Amino acid sequence: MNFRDRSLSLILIALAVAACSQTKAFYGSETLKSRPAEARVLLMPPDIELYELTAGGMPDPKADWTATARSHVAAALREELVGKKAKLLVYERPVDSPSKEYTHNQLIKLHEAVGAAILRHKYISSLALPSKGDKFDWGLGRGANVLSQEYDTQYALFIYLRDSYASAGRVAVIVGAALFGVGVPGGRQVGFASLVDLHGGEVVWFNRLESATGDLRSPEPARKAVKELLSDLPL
Amino acid sequence: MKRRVTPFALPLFLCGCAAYSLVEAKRTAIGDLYTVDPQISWSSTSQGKTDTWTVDGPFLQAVHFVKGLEDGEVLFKGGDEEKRPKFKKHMTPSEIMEFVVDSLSAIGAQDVQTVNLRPERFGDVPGFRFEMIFTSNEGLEKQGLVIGTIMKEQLHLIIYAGTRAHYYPKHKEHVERMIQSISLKGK
Amino acid sequence: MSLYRSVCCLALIFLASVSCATARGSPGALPDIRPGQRPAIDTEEAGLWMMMDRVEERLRTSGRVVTDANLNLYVRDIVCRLAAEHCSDIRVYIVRTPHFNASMAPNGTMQVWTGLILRAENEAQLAYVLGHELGHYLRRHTLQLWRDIRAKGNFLAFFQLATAAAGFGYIGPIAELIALGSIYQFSRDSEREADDLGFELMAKAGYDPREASSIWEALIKEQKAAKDPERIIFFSTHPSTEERVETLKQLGERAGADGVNRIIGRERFLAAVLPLRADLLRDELRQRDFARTQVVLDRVFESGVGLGVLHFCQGELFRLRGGEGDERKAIASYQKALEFDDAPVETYRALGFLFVRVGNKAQARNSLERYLAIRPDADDRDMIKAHLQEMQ
Repeated sequence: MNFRDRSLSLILIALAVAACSQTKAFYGSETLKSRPAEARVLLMPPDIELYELTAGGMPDPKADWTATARSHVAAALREELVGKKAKLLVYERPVDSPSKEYTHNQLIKLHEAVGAAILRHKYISSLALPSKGDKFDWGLGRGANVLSQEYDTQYALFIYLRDSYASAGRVAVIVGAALFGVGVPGGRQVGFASLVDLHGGEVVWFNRLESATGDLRSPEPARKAVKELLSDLPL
Repeated sequence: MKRRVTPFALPLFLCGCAAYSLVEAKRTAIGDLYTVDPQISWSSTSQGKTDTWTVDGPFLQAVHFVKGLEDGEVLFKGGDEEKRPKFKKHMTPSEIMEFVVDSLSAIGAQDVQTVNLRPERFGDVPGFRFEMIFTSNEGLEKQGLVIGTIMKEQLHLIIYAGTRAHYYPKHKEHVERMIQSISLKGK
Repeated sequence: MSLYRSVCCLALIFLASVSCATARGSPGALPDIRPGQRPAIDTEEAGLWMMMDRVEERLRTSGRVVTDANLNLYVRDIVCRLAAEHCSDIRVYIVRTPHFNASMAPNGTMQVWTGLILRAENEAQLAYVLGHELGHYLRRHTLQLWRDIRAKGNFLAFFQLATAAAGFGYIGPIAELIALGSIYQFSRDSEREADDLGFELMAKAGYDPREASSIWEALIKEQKAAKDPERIIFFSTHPSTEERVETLKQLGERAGADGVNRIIGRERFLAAVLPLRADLLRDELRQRDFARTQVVLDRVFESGVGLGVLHFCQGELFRLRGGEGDERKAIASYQKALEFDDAPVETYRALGFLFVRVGNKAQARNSLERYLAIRPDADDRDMIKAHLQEMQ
């Protein structure tokens, strides 16, 4: 399993243990110093994947759903950010420069590692780091500047979303089980978003999403999910 | 299901064993052999003979104190230990370096390169030191330094490793000063 | 990537007996893949491709891919010769790991692991394995496998399979590779089909099919010597019976009996592979299964080239094994290595340390001084100088 899988598996386990928790956001200790009238935000490649649970419970990757979801999420993001007066730029792989691509990939991988550390040590209380206390001071370091220069933006937004929800057969099973008090995991959305200040690399905002319903295939629920994820986004 | 918990990789499954305690910035004992001045506060956890201190999370950066490995023991416990390199009490520093490199490789480090193996004091006894760079299991660049000595046929190591970008440099100075502060007990 | 997807990829490995009829022409069999074909986005095949595309993306940036330009060109060339009009649909990745394996994902990603490259003796042997994997790709066995898993749809079984994989000790780097979807366990029918097609492709491309059985025989020999024979990955997915070797031998004899001159490609292969050999042998040694590595080393010795490196590696094997009498054997091997031009400079250092151990201070000094003389900017010169001072 790679890092993301581990971190997401930890979320799933944590969810099984914790009560249905609300969205809970963290703000970087260096809160945004100024709120420019129109912040430019670089949207990093959203890591989104959708599955369908068949009656036997096996997750089935749906290319068409995922493609649809990506466009719905992107559209919802644009709307949210416009509402917040931010300008959205989309990250593109620098296909003509392998060394640039390598540098960018290292940043993306570093962010994954940082995201996983935040999920572990801030959202799972038994794994809290006592020396950290209430501080929230993770970041990517000054290396993040290369993105800021490349795209002339101050902020980058990273999004991870996973959604697995029931096909018709599975819904019947869930209803029956719920009725008899045997909670079977049904449709679930798991995700997080982080906003990084590219000048110093600080993660200035981080939010984990966990809700039991939501359907990214259609525009309105996608908008709702994104809205929930980006609630309190300080832009 | 074999449980594998190592200082260099996150556990595959939550085992509830990695609770962290606070290390304050005052002289602290490492096992029975020596004390150090931590310089800052750290969060500490333990596994077998290794204490791991971190500020931001062990994958991002951590100091690992290996306290007295004996002849025949592996460096990172868990998983299939039979195929892992074992410490031998007559090892030269070159062989110990090989032991560390091969142990790291066995748990997922890729392309481990070592730099400048040299003699170095461990407190006030002779020891050795080298630096290294490698790539994590997922392809992220990491960096590290290792200092160690053999005393009474046991291996003592201090390994500081972290992501090459940001997290390794973040506390390297603290670790260097911590190494300078090593004070061997009862001599 | 999610936990689910890794589990699914792991599940693709250890399928319990799948009674899928994948023989060509049988009911329910898929048509062969056509060049340039891509699945429509609302199909289940598209879902599988999507997963494989993401896996390929991760593989590309994983740091495990060998970038040596010569070797990549060489292997790609072979693949294209075999794949003919499918060549442009295929992307080849050489993956650095001591395990023997090659695989093709349905989206055209081909992986060739360096453990395979180390064990092949010539181009024809490599071509057979690659042709076999191309066979799976052309007949779309992976998609069939995927459909069969879904039809049986037992989710819990997947978790069991995942833990079974972990129980085999597939952790760390190899687990990552497995999760990268490189291992498939096809049915016996699929394997036979891939063998047949592999032979066809080999012959069409002009290779000598009598070389095919040789690499299997080598693997079986290794399996017999290995500490954990059940953990040889290629065998968990390809039946390794003597019967199969016999079949391959016969197929090879029949196909090669027409007396036509066929490519074995020994020189070409060695030229491409020799620069990497020392590194690959070091990877192999690092696993510390000495009986098995000895089998591999013996096979590489038969190539008759690069003997300085090979004798050095033999010395390293003895040194690391450290059994009764191994110190003397290691010294003998290092000394033998020094008779050849390509002996690595580390040979002197290794000799130096062993001489110290067996109490021969004079020879130890000699060797370590030689090491520093040849490489005055050696990375560990401070340590070596300290050793020399100690010996005064």
